[in-house]
Amino acid sequence: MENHAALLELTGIEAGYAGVQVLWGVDLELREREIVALLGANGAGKTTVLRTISGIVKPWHGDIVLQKQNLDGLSPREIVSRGVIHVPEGRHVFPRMSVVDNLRAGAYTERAWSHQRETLEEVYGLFPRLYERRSQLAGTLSGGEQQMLAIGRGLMARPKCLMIDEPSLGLAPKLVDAVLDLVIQIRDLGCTVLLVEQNAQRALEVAERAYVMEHGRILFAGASAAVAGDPAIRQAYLGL
Amino acid sequence: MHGFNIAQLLVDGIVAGSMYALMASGISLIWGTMRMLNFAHGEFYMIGGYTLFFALVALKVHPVIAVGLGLLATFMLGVVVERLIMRWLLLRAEWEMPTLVATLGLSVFMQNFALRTFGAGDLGLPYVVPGVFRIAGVVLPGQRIAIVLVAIVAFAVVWSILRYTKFGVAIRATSQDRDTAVLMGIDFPKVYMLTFGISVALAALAATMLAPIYSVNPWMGQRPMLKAFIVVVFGGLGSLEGAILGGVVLGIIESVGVAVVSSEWQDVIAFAILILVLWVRPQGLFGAKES
Ligand SMILES: Nc1ncnc2c1ncn2[C@@H]1O[C@H](COP(=O)(O)OP(=O)(O)O)[C@@H](O)[C@H]1O
Ligand SMILES: [Mg+2]
Repeated sequence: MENHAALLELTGIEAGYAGVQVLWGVDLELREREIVALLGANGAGKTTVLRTISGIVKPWHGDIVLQKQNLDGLSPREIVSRGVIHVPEGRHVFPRMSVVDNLRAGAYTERAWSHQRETLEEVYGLFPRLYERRSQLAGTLSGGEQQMLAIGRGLMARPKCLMIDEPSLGLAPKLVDAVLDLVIQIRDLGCTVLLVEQNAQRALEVAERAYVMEHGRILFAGASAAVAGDPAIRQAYLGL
Repeated sequence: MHGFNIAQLLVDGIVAGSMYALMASGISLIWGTMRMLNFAHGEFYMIGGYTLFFALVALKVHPVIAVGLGLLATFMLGVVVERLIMRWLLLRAEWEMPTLVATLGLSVFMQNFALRTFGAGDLGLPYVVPGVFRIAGVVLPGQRIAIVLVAIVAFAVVWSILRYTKFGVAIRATSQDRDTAVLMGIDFPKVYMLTFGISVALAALAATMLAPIYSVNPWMGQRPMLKAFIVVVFGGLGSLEGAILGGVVLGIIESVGVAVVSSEWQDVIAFAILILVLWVRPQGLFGAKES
């Protein structure tokens, strides 16, 4: 479809927790300015893939390369400062901090901190609601607003790649629309988005490409239309 | 009533309470950020006291510089202790018990180290701030006025750091959700180290204010620390506002209580309050219920 340059590449990633292997040879590629969906049932290993990319889980084997640089052995902090940002499952806003302080926390790396003001303007432009609620404690926001805040906080780091884990979880359909709309806007600003979803139908509508996982393996990779149009995949892995 | 000067009692209570608050805020800061209790907090207070004594008596520096040296030495010792001892324990899955036992052990070690090195004797210091003021029948030595002013400035500084600085954002984020703070690129071990240092420096500040009133000895930190623990239970662990209000309220209750009964009852009153609060409101007066 498009021939954008590769941004992030995982090859043969094996990883797990305390000796229990969860990922079995995961290959995944993200190009610049694209939305990629990572799909699969609960427990398939999607979150573990994100944790491995963000340096929280150390891979046992395999390589993660960001723009020709191997991320091997880098701390989460160094990975964040290279522009790869992980918006965690379940939002995890800082509940007893105001909305604006949550956003400031997102701009913690040196480069992001020095551009705080401009980025804040941009984020408020994308999320007028966050601007209205800027002095409110994050814990008092609705679920949809907290998801917006979690994404906005991720954007404060001025990411090249934003990985969003299950943003539609627990949201009403209207809010899911709003979140997915934002994902498109974020991509249009020049950021690659890795969208992890159990809600495959909706994710496939916005993503250009998709990966389907089961039991820690990538079973299928291809254009969204191909995934959506494959009855076997739809039935077996996506529950559609 | 029979000749009690209520204004004097309140003022005395506020003076004592501001120091309880200073001690308690350090304990609360460490708890809030690192979820550990520091039972050696009183011994860092002691380090502040000895440093002040030697700076004033041996080095003969200006009192303000002596106080600064007390804070600096204690801060640096705190940073080293955190880096060399606490860090390894805090990174474990089960850190509550090991850190608690380690700080208890550290407390015993530091007391005995001071005993071997400096001896058991009480070292007296002159008041750093001279003069006695009388305002509307209330007697106020300059040292005590200085104590309250210093406490107010210290709280303003800590509050502003937490509220406005990048480091403050990192402390608050780490204390509310450490795993998510990591995703922001926050280096929580560094946050822990500096938080520990700041916390024990607050204890040292209290010591430098109180050492001229009491005296310097290896056990000088014990009572202030016990009082501080009462205050944090009273005000709610992890809350700076709770530590300040709890400290002042305890100071006033003690000062009024001692006037009504007698001074041997001071600690009884304090611990009775502790038991009462634990019974009626275990999360403290200002603490939120933990889920
Ligand atoms: N912190 C953890 N410790 C141990 N096992 C875990 C942990 N997190 C996830 N797992 C296991 O790893 C597997 C994949 O989980 P996860 O990556 O969260 O899947 P998904 O995000 O697709 O639901 C599951 O079997 C889960 O039980
Ligand atoms: Mg998950």
